[in-house]
Amino acid sequence: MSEPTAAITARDVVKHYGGSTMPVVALKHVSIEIRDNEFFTLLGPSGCGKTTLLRLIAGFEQPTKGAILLFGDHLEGLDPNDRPVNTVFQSYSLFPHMTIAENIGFGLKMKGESQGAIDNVVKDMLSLVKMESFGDRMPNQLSGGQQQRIALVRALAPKPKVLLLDEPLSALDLKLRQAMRTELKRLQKETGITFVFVTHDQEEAMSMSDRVAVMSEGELQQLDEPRLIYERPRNRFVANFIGDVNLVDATVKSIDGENYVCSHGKIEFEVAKILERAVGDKVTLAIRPEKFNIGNPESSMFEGTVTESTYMGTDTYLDVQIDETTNLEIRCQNEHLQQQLPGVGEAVGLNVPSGAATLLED
Amino acid sequence: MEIKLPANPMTRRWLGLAPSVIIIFVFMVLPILLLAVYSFKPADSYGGVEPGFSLDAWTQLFFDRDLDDTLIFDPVYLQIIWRSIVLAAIGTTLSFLVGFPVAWYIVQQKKETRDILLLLVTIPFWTNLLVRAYSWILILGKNGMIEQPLLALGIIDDSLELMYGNLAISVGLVYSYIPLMILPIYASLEKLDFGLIEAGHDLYADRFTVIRQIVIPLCAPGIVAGCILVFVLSLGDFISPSVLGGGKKMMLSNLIQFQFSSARNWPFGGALTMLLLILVGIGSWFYIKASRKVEAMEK
Repeated sequence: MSEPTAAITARDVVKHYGGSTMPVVALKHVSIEIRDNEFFTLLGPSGCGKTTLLRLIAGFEQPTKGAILLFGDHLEGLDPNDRPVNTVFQSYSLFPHMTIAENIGFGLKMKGESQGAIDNVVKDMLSLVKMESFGDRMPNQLSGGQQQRIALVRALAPKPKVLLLDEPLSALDLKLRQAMRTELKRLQKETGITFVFVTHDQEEAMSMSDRVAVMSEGELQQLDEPRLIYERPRNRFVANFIGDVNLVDATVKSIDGENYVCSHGKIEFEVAKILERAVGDKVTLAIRPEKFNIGNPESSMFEGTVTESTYMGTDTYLDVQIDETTNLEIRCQNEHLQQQLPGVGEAVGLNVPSGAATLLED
Repeated sequence: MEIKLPANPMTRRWLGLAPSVIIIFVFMVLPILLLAVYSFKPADSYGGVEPGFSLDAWTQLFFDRDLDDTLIFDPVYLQIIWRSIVLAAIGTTLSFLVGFPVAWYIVQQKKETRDILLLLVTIPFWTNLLVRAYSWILILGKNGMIEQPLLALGIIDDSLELMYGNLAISVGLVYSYIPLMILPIYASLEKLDFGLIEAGHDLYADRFTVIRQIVIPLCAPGIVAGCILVFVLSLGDFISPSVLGGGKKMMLSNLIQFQFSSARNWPFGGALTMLLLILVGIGSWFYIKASRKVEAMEK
């Protein structure tokens, strides 16, 4: 036994909604392993199935096919109240007729803990989010951000094995959202509980997660660390969904040790051999806009003509035409006032460092 | 011709309200005041009242006048009042126990199904109250729909005597007024945030606990409204006790009706009516108190 047991194992999970005649497919054969004590994020556009997967883990829905395991135990047939898993809801769902302390203590009370033990945990939980004096207030007396924190510790209070978070930051304003990201990450580290976080916001996913699962149309597109999701997107969907990207059609020209040399017209890119491809195969390359180095047209790998230039403060975005059919988006950092960037209509030399371009599956 | 409206906005407002105020005053407030006044007058022998002031009607609620004019405590009317309250309370409780699950079931259906079910709930209101009461005789009565098969199968050998008692009256009350329990409860359940129910389940509460600790407290206004409506109307009902109770078990309203008809004692009828009004008033006060508490919480 070398592999530790995963916190959550989803095995070939399928979920259909509606009748058997016109079923809506929410999940198609999704298999995911979520490790113990990690901050795991399900990322995708709305309707990608991320919330469905979360609800299946919580027990609000039952999978049509497949199995979900919690630390190796089957969850099939267990109601939400029989699963040692708690949820932080998008709309907080604090009980309006109970005080903050009663809200936080609700889960423990249902588990049959003594009032003394409940009071202690409630105190700890309130100090965890620095809201010690709020115990006697009612939910409607709290601001959105405060309600959010209470919803969080209410779900943490019963010490669940896994905490599920359903877009909990989407109702907050930007400043508060950024502050809550740091706080969530801190709470995850302090409590050591596995967090499964659902969001459509890539920044949220990148900044908090140990690993991110990108989903689209009920399928898992890629599961990796944030860095790899960004630097090595597996396919067009992931490359486009996370950040900005240039997709370049190319042909495998030669194999050079651990790299392929791919050509687009006269331009050659060196890409890591992450997929099996033969010489002559058509491939798609992904290059992030900030990977290019600009230089003199004469001494650079290739050149193009600037067709558009947009000053954005930290960066300047250039739109560069390199041949009749291909335009590249290039991002240059604005270093100092004296920096001279090529203007519209001028020629510009472009360099792509080895490994900056990556091979896509499709 | 030009009609000149008064310049003062207050006067204008009252002028606009005048027709309804007059109708309510003449047809509702005035008769009640009249009854209140009558209850303090001596009765004459022909069903009217004599001039003067008398507390006879009110003392009659509790005391009987002996031959030598001494007052003896007589609980006969109090018993009828008490029975009315108990039967109305039983009817209300049964209506809640049946009505709440029905409302709970309806609210969980699809929108189109809900509308149909709500329409079905109101069916008892489509027919006359008296006809509805008589239909229960066919069900509960001797050789009725319940007894006949049981007799035929030999499960019982004698009549169950379901009719003409408290049971039959309670059934009649529940059947007559249960829509008034279901509709307000449904209305408040419909507004309930079902995310709270999921949150409750998620925090280890089973179905029953979620209903008891989350749904019922949050739907209290609807539940209290339903209970008050059923209780008040049950308290004033005279068809169920006279048709299904066989007139043997009198309720307050039967007694009132009796005073204005056969007994020809209008002052006593007036006193009884005032008493019924007071009981209803107490119930309504509880309702207003309960609903204010919930409103303050949801703000």
